[in-house]
Amino acid sequence: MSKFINSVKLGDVLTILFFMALVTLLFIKLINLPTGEFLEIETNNESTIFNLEHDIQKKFSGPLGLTEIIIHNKKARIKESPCNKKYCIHHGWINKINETIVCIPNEIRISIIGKNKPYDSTNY
Amino acid sequence: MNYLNNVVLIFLLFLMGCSDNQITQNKDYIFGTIVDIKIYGETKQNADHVSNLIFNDFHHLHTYLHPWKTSAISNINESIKQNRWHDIDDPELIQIIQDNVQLYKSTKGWFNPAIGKLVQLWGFHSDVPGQKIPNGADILDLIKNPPKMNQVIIENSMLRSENPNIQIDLGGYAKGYALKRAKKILEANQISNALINIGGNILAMGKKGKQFWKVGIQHPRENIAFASIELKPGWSIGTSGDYQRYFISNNKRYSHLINPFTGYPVDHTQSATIIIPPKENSEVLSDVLSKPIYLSPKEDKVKLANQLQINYFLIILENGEIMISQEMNKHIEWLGDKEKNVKIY
Repeated sequence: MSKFINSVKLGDVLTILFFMALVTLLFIKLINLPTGEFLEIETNNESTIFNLEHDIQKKFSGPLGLTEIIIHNKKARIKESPCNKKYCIHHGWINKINETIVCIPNEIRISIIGKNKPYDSTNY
Repeated sequence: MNYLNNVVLIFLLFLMGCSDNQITQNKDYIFGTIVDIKIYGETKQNADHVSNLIFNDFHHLHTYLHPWKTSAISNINESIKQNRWHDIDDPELIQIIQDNVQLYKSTKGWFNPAIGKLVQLWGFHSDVPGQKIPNGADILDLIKNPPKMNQVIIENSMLRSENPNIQIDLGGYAKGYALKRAKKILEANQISNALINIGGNILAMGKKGKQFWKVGIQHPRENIAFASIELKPGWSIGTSGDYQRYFISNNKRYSHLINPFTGYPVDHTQSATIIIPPKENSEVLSDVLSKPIYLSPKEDKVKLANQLQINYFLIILENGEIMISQEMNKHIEWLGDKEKNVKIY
């Protein structure tokens, strides 16, 4: 053990400290991300936006079947999905702006949008 | 008991899911562009139903007013070409033509829907614009006896013009008129919160919950919005620009917006955006009145805007300079980090 400690150089310590600080910073940044106000649900060519203030439980159809999405306590998640791997369900709750869950097999995408979604439409 | 509570909770959640906090979006391709309807505060079923009513109305209007395919307008143009009276059996169409004559007069000819032949000559009477600069002599022929919308005469239901150079093209009017009709359809169906976008011409009805509808204004030379603005209930916004329908020949850009006095597309302005607050015909005006502001020379733009009572304008000149009215400047939110050369008028 002492041999190991003796072999550690200043550069190694600095490198470890640098990465620890980086991870801590990223973690702080992640948990401090602003929370969103709306949930955008995109299914085949359609997009629907729900206010996170109001709880909902709805099913949306995709090519494989019905995906159930819930909004509760200003957070959203996919509760049920007909896809095989269920990654979308394991993703859990999202509530920070730009957090997104995509279920590729059932072609459903849900994302959190802030009050400051830049705009609703474009004038050109 | 817990189980019962959960069942009641889920039932309540389900009911709340049917509540009116959602925005439903529907899109269709009409008038050669994307039509995007967002409705707030309605069930998806109702929003879809009313959106489809509007889309169907727009499809009808597009066919009815089409500038170069067989339509009520092309039939009128054929009669003008043959110098004969044309019986218009539709009071709405008579009203539309009269409205266009009036707008021609109030804009001192800068909005001139009688220049269809010029638009055609420049190759823009086609889904894919032509790429050729027309022969100067052909343009001169048309400009020597310039087509003027006030040369279209309507007596009772009969229309005539003695200027064979007139060819009516309502391309600068139809989208605004469609917005006006969409508003009526929404009102008739008790929908008061919606955002309708016809290829960039936008009408905001009501709000989305407590917030105003917000639109981005696209930069004419970049694929992003350079500013955004909240639209108060009833506001309409329209832009005329040289970046949607144009062609480039010998490194010079030629857009579909043609100066009715010279017969050539203008090269001094990239875009002109205006907002018209709610008033009689405001949806139409937001489409129509951006043309005079776009086409007129820089030194005349502000004066013309004042004469036309346009309090909200934002113009990007060819050199990138931005001319903005005081009222517009109070509401605009600039986006992006790029430095902007803005002058307030």
